Amino acid sequence: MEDSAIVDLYWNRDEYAITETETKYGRYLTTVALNILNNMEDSSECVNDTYLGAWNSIPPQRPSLLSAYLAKITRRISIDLYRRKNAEKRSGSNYEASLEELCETIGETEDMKADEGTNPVKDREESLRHEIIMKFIAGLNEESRRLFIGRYFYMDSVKDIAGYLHISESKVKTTLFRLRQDLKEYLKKEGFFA
Amino acid sequence: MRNDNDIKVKAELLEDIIGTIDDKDIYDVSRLREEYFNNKEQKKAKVTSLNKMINTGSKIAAVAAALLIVGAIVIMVNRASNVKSSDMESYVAFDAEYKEAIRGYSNSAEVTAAYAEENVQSDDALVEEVAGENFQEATNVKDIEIDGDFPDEFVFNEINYVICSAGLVKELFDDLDIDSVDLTDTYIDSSYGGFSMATLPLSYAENPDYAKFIVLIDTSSGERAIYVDSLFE
Repeated sequence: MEDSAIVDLYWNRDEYAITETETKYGRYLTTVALNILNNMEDSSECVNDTYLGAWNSIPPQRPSLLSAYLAKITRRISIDLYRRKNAEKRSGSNYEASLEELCETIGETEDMKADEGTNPVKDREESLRHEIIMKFIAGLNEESRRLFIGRYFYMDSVKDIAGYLHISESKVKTTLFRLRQDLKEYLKKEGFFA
Repeated sequence: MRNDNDIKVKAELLEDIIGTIDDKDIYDVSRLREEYFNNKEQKKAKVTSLNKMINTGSKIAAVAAALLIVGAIVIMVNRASNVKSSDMESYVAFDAEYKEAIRGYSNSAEVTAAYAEENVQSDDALVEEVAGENFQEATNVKDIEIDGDFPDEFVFNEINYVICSAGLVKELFDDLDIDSVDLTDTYIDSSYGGFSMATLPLSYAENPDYAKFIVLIDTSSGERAIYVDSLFE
């Protein structure tokens, strides 16, 4: 079924929307959750919560790219679950690897001003930070952008990224390293955390 | 002084923001992923299918497999060692009798000697020579996740045999929950050019014209590598 038809089902409050979503995107969403959680049971739970999230948000939303919309929900729910369940222990998931890489990038930016504690950022600051990151991504060439999204949005393994971009694993690693260096410089320049 | 917790909070913030990037960019990558993961699923399904085929294969198929294995080994040995065709006839001669052939191969001290004469300097060179002209890719096995999927290097619709260390075969199949593969058909020649190798017939009954080989090799230096090669052209 076409995405637009599935979205129409949501708008019509037809529960068949969830069945169709599961049929078309269930496996895809499971890979998104699994990359973060590294646990099938938890991943299934997050994917089910994704359907509920979609049900609750469509309407008023009318996503034109349903797969991306759903992936964002799954990612958000999975990360929240991961953070709740793995505050201390390490699970070895792709999420953890991805986060560690981002930590490295930020950790090396020593002259940046730290946030005060762990308080949530204000909406305006969040919006500005969003713009900064979007600008960085927009400035990347196609392959680098795909690599960045594959690693830090989908949290795919280096091997999988190499597989779907048809490049070698070493090129993925090298490019990601350079991207992190560029991101570090960019964040410093833009005063991301100032 | 760097505060690790603070860094983690920032990284999570950054990660949260990455989670809000434009749908069109996410969609662009999702298309690529979909194709890739679908392909992976299909490969997995083929493994199951191949396994069933192995379990239900006829005696004729087994004999055919044996002949193919012997033929492949002979060709591989021939390529690797540059032994002349006439020299290889002694190996070909035993192809009618499966066990005889394997015993012959296992005693192939001559092959090892031939390698020495060729002054092969490194494992890599030796492996490349073994893999032949159609050498496609080499990957350190450490980079390969044996997590239920065969490595991407496996071309399931074209594979007829796996050549690898017996231990790695078992590891692969254990991870795949394929416990019914008969490893009695696995042959090991630890003397072969310093490599420990084993062969495992996979899809021999389906299409012997597409005899592809996966070569998983334990090198004498202790590293393991994967090579994909077509030994029948």
